[in-house]
Amino acid sequence: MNHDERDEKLVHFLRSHRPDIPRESHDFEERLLNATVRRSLSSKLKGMLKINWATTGALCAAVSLTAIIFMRPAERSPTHTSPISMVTHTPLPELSEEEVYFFISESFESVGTPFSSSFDAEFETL
Amino acid sequence: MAEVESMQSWIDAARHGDEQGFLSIYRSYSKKVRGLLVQLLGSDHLDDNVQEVFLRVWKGLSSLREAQALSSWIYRTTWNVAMDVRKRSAKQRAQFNQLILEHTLAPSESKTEASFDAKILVEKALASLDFEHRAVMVLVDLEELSIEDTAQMMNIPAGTVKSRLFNARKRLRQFLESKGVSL
Repeated sequence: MNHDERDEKLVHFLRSHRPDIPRESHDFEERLLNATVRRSLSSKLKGMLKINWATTGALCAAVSLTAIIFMRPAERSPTHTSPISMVTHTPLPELSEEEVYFFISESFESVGTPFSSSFDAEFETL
Repeated sequence: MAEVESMQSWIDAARHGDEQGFLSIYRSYSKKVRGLLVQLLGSDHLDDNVQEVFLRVWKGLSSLREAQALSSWIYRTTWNVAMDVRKRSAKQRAQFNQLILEHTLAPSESKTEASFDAKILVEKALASLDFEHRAVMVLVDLEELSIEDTAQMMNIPAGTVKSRLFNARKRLRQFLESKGVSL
């Protein structure tokens, strides 16, 4: 027996004894039709969601762009400083001249320099 | 010719949402699709897989140009579903092969006729092949597709189909011989 004949015999054996095909369930056609309806609804819903996502994305982009364009440069500048009273919301106390002199001289002396000598030295250099 | 015309009318009807047109297409091809899926994937979840094939057919009908192409297109769709299922369930595939082996080793007493044994043997022999070789064997030898059509469906060269077919037949023959069937 040559090779082709052996192949033919094998194929014939396979075809004669091919596996049984299980029967479909009795309500299969009904389930299939229901599934087609479900799938078409799901496709439509997906389409709608896709449109809504696109709309939402476009709106967000537009709002961001508007904010960037119309924001005042001074507010965006990193070197901009605000008065301390604006930051703390506490008005600075009003001081008399004596109180100011006392505050300054105390500050000088706290670092080891008498306020008056520093004043004199300043005059000498001038 | 009349068959093609009626098929075209079913396709047109189904495209317009007619359930009877779609069911006519289903009834014409369900046996082929079921047979191919059983041989490629086994009978687990068969109804679900058949349903998936026909849902894809239903969805894609609008893009089908000619009624004559329907048959090969449904085959192609069945193949694609089989590939997707196979990718999804590598574990299940191993279980299927194991199940077939166990089933064959211990057949029930009421089904001990020779024909039943031979069918089980063929099922087991096909399950013993890896998917690529089994697919070629099923498409060419059992479904009687040409080498070219099989190559196109599997997206591989015709030469590869031939070599896989040669090896698959050789392995299958060896398997059957080991079980006492000389061919």
